[in-house]
Amino acid sequence: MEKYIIRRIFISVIVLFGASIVAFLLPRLTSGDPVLIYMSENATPEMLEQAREHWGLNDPYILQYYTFIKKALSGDMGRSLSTGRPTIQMVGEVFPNTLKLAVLAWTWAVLLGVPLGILTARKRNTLIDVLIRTFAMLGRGMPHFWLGIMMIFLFASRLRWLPSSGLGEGIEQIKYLIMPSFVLGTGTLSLIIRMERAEILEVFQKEYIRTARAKGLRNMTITYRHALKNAVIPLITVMGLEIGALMGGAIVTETVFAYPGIGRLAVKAIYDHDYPMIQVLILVFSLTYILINFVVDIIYVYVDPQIRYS
Amino acid sequence: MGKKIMSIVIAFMFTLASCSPAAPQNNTESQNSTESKSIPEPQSSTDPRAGKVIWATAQDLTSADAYMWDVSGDIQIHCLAIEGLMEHIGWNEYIPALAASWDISSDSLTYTFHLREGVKFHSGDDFTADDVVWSAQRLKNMPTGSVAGHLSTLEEVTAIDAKTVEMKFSQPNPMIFFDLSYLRIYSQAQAERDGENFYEEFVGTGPWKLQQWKPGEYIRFEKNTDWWGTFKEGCPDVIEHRPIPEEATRLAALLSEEIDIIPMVPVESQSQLTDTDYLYTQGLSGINCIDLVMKNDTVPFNNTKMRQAMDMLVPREMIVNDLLGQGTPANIWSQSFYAWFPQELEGVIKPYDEEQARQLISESGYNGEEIRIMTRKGKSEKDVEICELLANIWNKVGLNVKVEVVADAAFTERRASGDYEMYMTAWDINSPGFYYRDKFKSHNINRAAVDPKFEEMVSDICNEMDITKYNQKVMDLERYLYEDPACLHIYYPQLTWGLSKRIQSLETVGGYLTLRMHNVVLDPTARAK
Repeated sequence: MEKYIIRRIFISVIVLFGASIVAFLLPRLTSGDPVLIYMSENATPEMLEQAREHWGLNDPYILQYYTFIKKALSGDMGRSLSTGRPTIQMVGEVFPNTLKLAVLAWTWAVLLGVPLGILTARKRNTLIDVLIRTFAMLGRGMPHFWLGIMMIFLFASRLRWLPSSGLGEGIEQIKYLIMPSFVLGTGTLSLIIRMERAEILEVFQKEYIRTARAKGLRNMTITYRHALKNAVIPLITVMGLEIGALMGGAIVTETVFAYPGIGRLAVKAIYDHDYPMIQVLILVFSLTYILINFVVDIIYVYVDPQIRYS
Repeated sequence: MGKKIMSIVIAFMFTLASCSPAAPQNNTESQNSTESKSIPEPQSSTDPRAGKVIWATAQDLTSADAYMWDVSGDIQIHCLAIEGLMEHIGWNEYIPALAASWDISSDSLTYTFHLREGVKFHSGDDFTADDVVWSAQRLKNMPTGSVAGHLSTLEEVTAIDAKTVEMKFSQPNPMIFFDLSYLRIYSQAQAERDGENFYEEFVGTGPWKLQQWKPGEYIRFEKNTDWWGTFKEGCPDVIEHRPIPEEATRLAALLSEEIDIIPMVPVESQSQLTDTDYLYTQGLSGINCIDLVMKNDTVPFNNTKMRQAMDMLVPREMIVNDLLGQGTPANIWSQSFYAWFPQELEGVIKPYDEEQARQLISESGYNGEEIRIMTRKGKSEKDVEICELLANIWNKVGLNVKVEVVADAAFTERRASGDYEMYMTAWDINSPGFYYRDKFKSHNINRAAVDPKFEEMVSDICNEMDITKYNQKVMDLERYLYEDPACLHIYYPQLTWGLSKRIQSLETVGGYLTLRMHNVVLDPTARAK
């Protein structure tokens, strides 16, 4: 197991290195000259050159990349071109917000999705099955933008139950997280319902389940003590990756709910051709996915005794 | 087990939801009136919103440094705390602020500012001439940012004594106060104490002091009770700005009384506000004109007849009355309240004339060259729809037109590199001489390159310091461009604010979106959440 962990760390470093090259090249190759975007219309050619020098944009790409990596290794990820603030500080301010939102969305999606998935499997081809699967399909297909706006007008404007936007402070943050986490989690919820249903139905075909039935065990015992443990293993990968997807996919939700998260930061950085911010965001997302994958693989070992990493 | 889990979750969510305060009671008096106010009983002193005003716009503060970007979203925040030598209160209207008075040399190259006495920064430091000198030099030496360009003609700034500053410019500039309004005065002492990020403390001399700033969430200011100026009676004690990017969410926040003010309410949403008894709308004409800019120095718009033909193919009244439901059709850049507006052109809208336009296009020698209209989405109302409407009309008369919707940064870059034939924009014409000279060049409109008479007229304007002669010359230029347009002026938008009835009065800077918050008056008896 120790060898496996060391090998994973080594691979992760290589992946991060690759991500840093992508992070560096992508904004430079796909977007234009940020100086033209950021400087005044009245700027003289000398002022434009001065800005390029100041931002290091006149250096060859290889030198720019070297400077970027050297500073990154000492914790300096550069300053945002638009705000002038350290990028790592800006990301640090909003990353926990998106993490909270994604984890809450994921949590209720799992807490609801697993039981609902089991229910549809057990009540296969009944009205309950149809209703839940229809709900799952709608959840997957419904645009977050539309759902979010509808919920805001219902629960905030009309009913005044929940706040329309923002983050709130202290314990009040829970109120502010309800709607955005619901909107964000609907896609994951429907995915979990459908996957869990398929896994349970497959496991129900296994011989040990037939044996359990033959022994006269109750359905609830068969489902939750014998079937669920095996049905949930493939789901762990999906559930793990979904956290990463939720964090990356929170862009629309954060915009609709004016929620200060990493998604909004990313959209602004891309629109503004803010190279340093785009770089750090790509690295943050890459690192997040790497960590999540790693944790999922470790959890596998504990959930499924047949899996052993050498 | 699944049922138990679901029951627990639903009960939990309802418990949390029930923690919200109850919806306010509807007042039965004057349900649909925008004029009268239905005033319930005064709020108790425990009302968390008492004495506080919250306003929301789409944009968040880009930079805490007032010397970085000359964008309206940043200006409206900075001006609350960081003052300049004079205050901009309307088009070409400036009142003394940190400069109590000023003298201008006969050649308009030297300005002497006599600074206001007894002014202190929020940090407690005294305001002196050294702070003005330091701030001006800092701004001039900014390596990046769009504000420094406004002081490009400043050659020298000197502190004559503790309360007198002299500035020397390389050339006369009739709009110098407009440019100087970007020079906001920071405390040199505070900057030296707090280091390179000193500006994040928003220490200035202004009526509002920073209370708390959470980037992306809100920025909150409290009244500076030591301010040299006067707050209107009933002015709030605390003001807060929230960035809410999505228009529907801003509207919902106003309807649910979480915020008090939003700008630019679209026409189709205004009745939602006026149908309540706690909100109203206030309209005012903006100073912008929505334009379709043409590249004047390349095919096909390097031809007068082609430009004139395009001008005849814009159904301005239909766009304003049927598509938008607001605004005024435009014929030239300036609006009638500008001192240089040629009065004989007021209300004179060029008629839509397809037949004559076809003839002019034919005479111009147009060969089917592609015309790309570049636009962003959401910068002005129904901008994409207007471009698509015009593209449909123009394609029917035989032109080859395509609409390209691009993101902000791509738009700016393509505009700078001239990668377009037309683009849609909204411009206010604060400084016509410099706009026509510099903006036309930097934005690749380049009329001067193909029209010597235009160049001569613009140059003459830029060197005219006598305001009466200046206005007359701009008027002549506007008449010239009315006959042979560089841009297609479509309409002047109406800006409508959505307001809580807690706001008794609201004051903005001219037709801008900048609020003069020290003149906002709260109705203490109005309902607050």
